[in-house]
Formats: sequence, structure tokens, C-alpha cells
Amino acid sequence: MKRREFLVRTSGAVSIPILLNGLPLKAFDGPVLHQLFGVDVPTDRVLVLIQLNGGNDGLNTVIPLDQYSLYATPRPNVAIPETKALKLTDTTALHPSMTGIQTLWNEKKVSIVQGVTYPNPNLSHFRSTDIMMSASDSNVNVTSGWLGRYLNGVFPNYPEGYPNASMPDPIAIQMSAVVTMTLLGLNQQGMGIALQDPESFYNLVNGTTASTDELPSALHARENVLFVREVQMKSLQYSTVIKEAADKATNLETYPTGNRLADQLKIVARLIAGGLKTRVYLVQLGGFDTHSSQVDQADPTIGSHAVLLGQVSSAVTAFQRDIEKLGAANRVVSMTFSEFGRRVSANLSLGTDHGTAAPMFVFGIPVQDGIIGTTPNLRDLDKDNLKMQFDFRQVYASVLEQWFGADPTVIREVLFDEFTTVRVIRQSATDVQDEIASTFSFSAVAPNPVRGDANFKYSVQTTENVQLTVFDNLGFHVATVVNQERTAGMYTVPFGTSNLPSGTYLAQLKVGNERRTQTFVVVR
Amino acid sequence: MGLLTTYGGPWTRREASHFLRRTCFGATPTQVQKAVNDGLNATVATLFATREAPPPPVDPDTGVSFITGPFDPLKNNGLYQRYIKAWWADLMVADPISIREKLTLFWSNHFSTEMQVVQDSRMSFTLLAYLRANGLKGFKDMVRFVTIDAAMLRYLNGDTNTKGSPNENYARELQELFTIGKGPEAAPGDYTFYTEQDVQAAAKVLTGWRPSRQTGLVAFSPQQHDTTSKQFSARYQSKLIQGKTGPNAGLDELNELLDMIFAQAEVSRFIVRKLYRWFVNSELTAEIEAGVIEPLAQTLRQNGFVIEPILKTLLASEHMFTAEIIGAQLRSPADFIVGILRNMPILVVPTELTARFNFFNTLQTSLAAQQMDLNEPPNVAGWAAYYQTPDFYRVWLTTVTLPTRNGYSDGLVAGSRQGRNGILSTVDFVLTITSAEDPYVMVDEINATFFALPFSEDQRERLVKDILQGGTAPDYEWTTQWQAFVAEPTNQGNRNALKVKLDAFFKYLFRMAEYQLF
Repeated sequence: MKRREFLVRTSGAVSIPILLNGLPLKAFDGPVLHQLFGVDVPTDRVLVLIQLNGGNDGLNTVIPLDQYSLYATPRPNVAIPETKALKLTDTTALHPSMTGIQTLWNEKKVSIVQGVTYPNPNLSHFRSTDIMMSASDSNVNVTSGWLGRYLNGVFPNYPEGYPNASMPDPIAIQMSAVVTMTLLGLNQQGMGIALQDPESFYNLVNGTTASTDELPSALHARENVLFVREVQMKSLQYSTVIKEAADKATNLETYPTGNRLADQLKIVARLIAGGLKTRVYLVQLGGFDTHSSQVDQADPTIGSHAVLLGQVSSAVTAFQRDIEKLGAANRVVSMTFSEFGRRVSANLSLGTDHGTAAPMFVFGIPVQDGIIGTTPNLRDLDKDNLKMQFDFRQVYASVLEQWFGADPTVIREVLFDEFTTVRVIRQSATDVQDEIASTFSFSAVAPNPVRGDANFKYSVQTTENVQLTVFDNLGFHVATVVNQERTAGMYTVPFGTSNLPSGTYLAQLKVGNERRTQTFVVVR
Repeated sequence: MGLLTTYGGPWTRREASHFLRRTCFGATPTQVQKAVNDGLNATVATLFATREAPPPPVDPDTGVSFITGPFDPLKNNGLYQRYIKAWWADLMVADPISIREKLTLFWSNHFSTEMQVVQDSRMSFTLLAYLRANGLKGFKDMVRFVTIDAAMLRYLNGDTNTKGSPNENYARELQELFTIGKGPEAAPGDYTFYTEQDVQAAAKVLTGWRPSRQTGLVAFSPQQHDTTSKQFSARYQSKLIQGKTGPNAGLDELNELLDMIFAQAEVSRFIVRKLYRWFVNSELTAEIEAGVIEPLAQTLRQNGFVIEPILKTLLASEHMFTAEIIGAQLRSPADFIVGILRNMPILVVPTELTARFNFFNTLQTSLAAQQMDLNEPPNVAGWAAYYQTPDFYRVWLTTVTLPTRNGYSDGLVAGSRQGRNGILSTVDFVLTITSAEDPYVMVDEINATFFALPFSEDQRERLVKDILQGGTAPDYEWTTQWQAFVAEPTNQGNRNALKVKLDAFFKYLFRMAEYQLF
């Protein structure tokens, strides 16, 4: 409700880019502000989230060799034969259809986190999916998503004022017809856009104009018109940049056909390599609710689950190869999740029913390869269900910390609590930042949002000319905070905001010829 | 005056259109005018009139129905499913003023089964035909039918729910989604209205039902039935269903189970809320709960869960016609596509079997592209637009589906789908308008036919000056051009000049955010 009231107030005139220079946004292709700044986003790291809908059977995905008979006995006809499983370690093997992922494992690009669930697991698809997407406790209903909240912190006030100089592209993209809860921000706004095909998106949007007509007076009708215009705006704003990025890159790897996950990842690779600054991509594969005919009666290594895991494996492998060839692999990490695992015992329909803990996979060159946790203890079950080794929010916290370099306070806010992290990414984000980037760093503004003094924190490795400038969201100069030579070291510069109107601001650090920008919000 | 008092305010085209849009996907200008002349009560009577079941779908290759006639197993899962969907789309578009198809869609969403999961077109058709024939009747009877219906048994694994190896899938959804709904989790496994224990106990009650792949019929197998007694939780007053044996055990225990569930007042509230969200609005304020949901739920309990009376009361109520309700919904893909076609004064649909199938198959493909594949909700909860807080109807519109809708309406106007998806001849449409030489009259008439809310003064002005006339020509230019055309309607040059202008104008109108409201 808050957000919509807000939009009522700002729609029309000054609500930024619609009427910038009196031009409808469609004409706003190469953002004026972008040229003004020539900025880069502070990080070019990408997270690809792979959702396996339906509840993936973890025990047939990652097979506990060390407890083979405890695994196989309650699953007559469903268990994978020991000799067919793809061995990763003495205790652990993969489903035989996951040959691609086994190869990635040998290349040290796979991390497996064992026994992931949450306390008091819920066995309803909908509820458990909501929990996994919102990162809430089992008994709490939250209507925003974990990545939505995180991204909303990085890109405050979204969608108001976006796209802008520091973020000209969609913040997140879900490769489907809808945006799901994972990407909903603090006010339930989709922090990402839905996308299926860059070309048709561009062609279909062509012909829509951004309207500023007055709104209906009835509450719901007004909210509805505002909402549809918001979707129109987003489509208009992003159709061009997405098409440009897609046109810029060509897949260098052949993807499997007839594989819906591969179809999505194929586009994601092009968009990443084409230079979109999009931080998160969400792709999905359904069909994991294998209550019946999970395996073939005659051969448990084939059947519907084998097909699905084979699709995941070949799609992820092709994607990994592609981004490696496209030179983007150092900045991309992928992670799987599913709403729950399945019971230890098979049912009588050659299938498995809803369960609890299951492994999560993290893929990529930056990944700290290995297995976190142990094979599930099949002697210690909770009503035929696996017990928790890791809370899924520990994995989320680890990714936020180690991949996005999020501050512990931010992580606590995003996940509503403190969670012990595990090592899923090889080095700390700062290390890689320095390695990838260059001779200086510029940390996120703190506090953010700010009422009094904001602190700008940066470091230089050699003596450099440093310029630190603050702009408002329309690109107007607000203040020059630093403009002098600095010797190697770390600096913190306070900046008083008490005389600034509330809104979004950009702090730009220029060192030599390189620039980096941080966004912050002033509240009154 | 209560919210549910029968509406007694103005009954003009505006109100009648609103009423028909919400209850039967809309109507032609002539049908709307008839409703205005008839008045609300007579229109309600027409809407709810008893109807014969429509003839079943036929195989366009043979001209014979595969439901009542010969059945080709090779066509079972592919072609027959498409025939059924196209047949349903045809009914939606071609139906007279009747609540039946919109209500059937409601029930097919409520008792969600995905045809492609059921994988038996006969079974899916049987369920669909039942829901169509019984949508206004007893809710409890519907639940009983659905529980042991072949398609549902296959969809939610009731067919593998047996003694010693219960499958809880249906028992859970029966309570969570079909009858009582999931409340807040009061304690682990306790969802306020039922508990995990109740799911397990109900699963045992429901053991033993087997659909036949050969015949599509369901039989009860006493050998597969769990004959132990089933203990329910305090949420159901600690009801104990004694285990039974013999050929009637399944039905007897099912009846006891439904008596137990339907004895809970929450069931009536649950289904009334769902009907409200389908036909009226997503928001359930305390005022709506007290003034709409509770009284209707009470009536429902008193009259043995018969749907028709409460639905009539709801749809003809003062509340239904308040300013806050008109435009409060966003069109579903069916409200969008079927709505446009039903609004058109003249719709030419092919009569030859194959051509007709192709026409409606294309229409159904467009529904699917907009995320409303008929008889294929995304999962057992149905389409998210009717339950997902806080977005509800907004779920339908994304950066993918909105441009897809735009492409669809562009195609209708431009006639690129000629012979397949129908065509809106814009010139012929405007010819049905009296005094179309006045561009403002024309815009108002178009608005009354297609839009839920009137354009504002500024909007009218802008539509005429900027959009219709390109921002330069004075208004009399339109008048002159139109009069010239009417004076000599066979002059193709005049017609084409108007067509270019009107096609662009209609494309613009259907792309307006305002069009998505209803």
C-alpha cells in the first residue's frame, strides 16, 4: 500500500526518466546520464539461481555410498545401484545421468552442501517454496524474497528512479513469464523483470507509449492503472538494452536441445557476455514432484528423475563451458535450490513422497569446491525424514557474504537473523575484487539510508589523484568531497547530508581514469 | 443498507456491461442494450437459466465425438486434449448470456487438475463436464464427486493410495485447497483448521480407489482399503472414523469424512472467499468479511451448500456495483481474449470443422502464451492470480505477458490472424455507431463497448486530437472524412484511408493500461 500511495504522488511530472528532456522514455535509449557518468557498477558479479520445482529427491541425486544398504533397503526398485553411481569421493556419488556435473567436479568447480532444510520443515509445496524464496522461518509468512530484499538494499527506492546512470539495466531477470517471490523487494515490488526471449520482447513492446494520463479516482482502479503502467514502463525501459546485450554476444557452446533449462541458460549466457549489469538471473526447471514413476520399473537409473537430472547436468555444463569461452566465467556463480527433498523410503508407485533435507549445488570457477557436511545420517531419521545439517539461510548468507561482499549487518537484515556461514566461494569477495579490478576500492556507503553523516570509504594501492563527487539522481552535481592526491592506504571521509533533500544520490570515486559509483539514500 | 442488498441504483450500459464482463466475459453492444432494457433481475435470471449440456467435442478428422463415439488411444493424450481445449474456448466465445463458462473456469481452477499430468482426455473431459453441469449446485456433492473422480485420483496420486502405503497428496489438498483452507500454523503441523494428523488420517480413509486406464472408470477395491480406525485431531472435535470393510467401506468412510469437514463453519467461508475473489475483488477487508463473506457463508451452511442462491445474491448486490469494485480487477487472459471477441458486434467464426478447430486452437494457444492454458493451471493450487497475496490479479501482467497481450490485440486489429483468430474490422465496427462523424461520440461508444471505466475529459480530448488525428488536424477533418466514406461506402480508397487511421487507433486503445481493468 505504501508504495502505491507513493507512486500516486510522483507519477506524472517529475518522476524522472519518463519525461527527461521532454522525451518519452522510448527515445531514452543511450541514457544521457550514463554518458555523463561513464560509470561502472561497483561489482560485476552475477548469481544464477536454478530452481528445481517440485522437491528434488536429494538421496538419488547425491548418493551416500558409505551407508549404501541403509539407503537402498527402504527404496527397493528406486535406489540407484552402487555400481552405476558416479563416484565423487569414497562416501559420495552422483546420479548416473549427471556426467557433466561429475566433469565439473573433477575440474574443481562444484560445491555440494549436504542436508539443507530448515527447522520444522513444511511439506506443502506452496508453503515450503515460499519459505525457501522468502528466507523466513517455517511459521512466519513473509511476502518479499531474500534476493529481492538484498537487491532493494543495494538499489534503494526501486523502481522509482530506475534505470539510471549506475544501473541502466534490469537489476534481476527471471527467465519465465512471471517474477516469483525470490525477487520481490521490500515493498513486494519485483526487483527483476520477467523475460523469455530478447527479440520478441523488443518487437512486442515496440508500439507501447508511456502514458501520463490522469488516473481513475476509485482506489483499486487507480492502483491497477498505476501497476499496468509500471509494467509498461519497465518493458519500455529495458527492451532495448536487453536486445542490445543479446545482439552483442553469440553463444560459443552448443547447448542440448529439448531441454528447457538449457534454453533459459543459453539466453542468460548471452546477456551476461553482452554486458548487462544485471546481478541475478533466475531460471527454473519443473517436474521434480516424483510421487510416481520416478524411475523405470526395470531400471532405476532411467525414468523421469534421470531425465530431469540429466537435463540439469547437461544444461549447467553447457552454460559453464559457454561463459568460460565467452570470458565471463570468473564473475558468474550458479546455485540450485528446491522446496524440499524427499522421504527416505520409496512409496509403492516407484516414487518418493515429500521430504525434508536435500543437497544444494553451487557451480563456477570462483566456487570453493568440495562437499560441505557429511552424507545424511540414515540411522538418525525424523519420521523417515532426513535431519537438517545446514539451514538454507546459512547457504544464502554465505553467498551474500562471499560472492556479493555484503556486510554482516546487511545479511542479518536480509535474512532476519544471524546465520553461520560456510565456505562456498574460494576467496573473500574483497580479495577477488582487488584481483579483478585494479588499484583501488570503494566500499558501500554506510550508513545507508543516511540521516546525518554518510561515510565514504575507499582505498588506493599507490599514490593517485582521487576525486570523490556526489550527484543527485538526475545527474546534477551536489558536492565535491575529495579532489587531491592520496598516498597508498585506506581512507574514510564523512559527508554531511543534513542539508540535502531526501532522495537517492550517487557518490562517484574517480581514481586516475577509472571510476566507480556507490548509491545511497538520504532520508529526512 | 447492507452490502448484499439487491442493487437498486442506475442501470445503464455502464452497469450492465460491468455486470456482464464479470459474469460471462462480456457481451456485444446489442446484448448489453437488451440487458439494459430487461433490467437487472431479468438479466440475472437469463444468466442463471438452466441449460442443456453442450454437445461433446468432436474429432474434426471424423466429425464424430471421441467421448460418445469411437475412441482412438493414439490420439488420447495429444490431439484429444487439444480438441477439448479448443471446444471449451469455442463455448466461452460463442455462449449466449450465461454464467456457465466463467463458473466452469472457476471450478476447473478450484479443483485444479492438469490435463497433461492426468494424461487421459476422457477422464479430464468427464471431470470438466461434471463441473460444467453442477457448478451452481451443491458444493459438498462436488467435493464428493471430485474426490473419487478418475482424473483427480490420477492427478493427486489417489490411485496409488493404498492400505499400508498411504499417499497423502490428495488428503492434504482436499483440506488445504479444496474445502477448509490452511490457517496460520498454530503449532508445528497444526494449521488452525486441520493438522498433519488429519492429513494422515484422511489419507487412510481415502485408500482403495482405482481408476481404470482402459475404461476411464473408477472402482473401489476393498482389499486396498485401510480398515483400521482413523483418529482425527481436536481441530475436528477428535472425530474417530471407524474402519470399515466390504464393498461400501470406501464410500461410507468418505461420507463420514466429508460430514466431518463440512461440519466446520470455516468451509463455507473458504469457498465464499474464493468465489468473491473470482467474481468481485481480491481485497478482503474487515468490512467485506463481516458484510459479505460471513452472511453468504451462513446462507450457504443453512441451505446445504448450494451455490446458486449465494452467487446470485453476491453478483446482484449493491456492493458489486460500487465505484470501488468497477475496475478493481485486472483481466485474466480469458477475460482479455474472450472479452474482446465477445464485445465485437460481428464475429465471424468458421463453421467447417477443421477450420473451426484451428480458429479456437489458435485462440487457446494465445491463452496459454498469456499463462492461462485451459485445464492446465500451473499446479494444484490453481492460478496464482486468485490466491497469491499481495499481488493477486497483478500476477497476470509481467514484462513478458503484457507485451504478449499487446501483440495479440495488434494482431486482431491488423487482421494478421484473419481466418484463424477472428478479426476486428475497425471500419465495420465504427459503422455500427450512430453519429460516428462526431469523433467524441465515436470515442465514447468505443469506450462503452470495450472499457470498464469512462475516459476522463482530458483523455477523450487527447485520444481524438493526438491519437486519432495525429495531433495536427482539426476535428472537422474526421467528420469530413467519415461523411465522405458513408456517402460512398463502396469507394475502396476512402475506406482504406479510414482503416489505416482506425487500426492504429484501436491498437493504441487496446494497449492502454486502462484496457486491462475490468
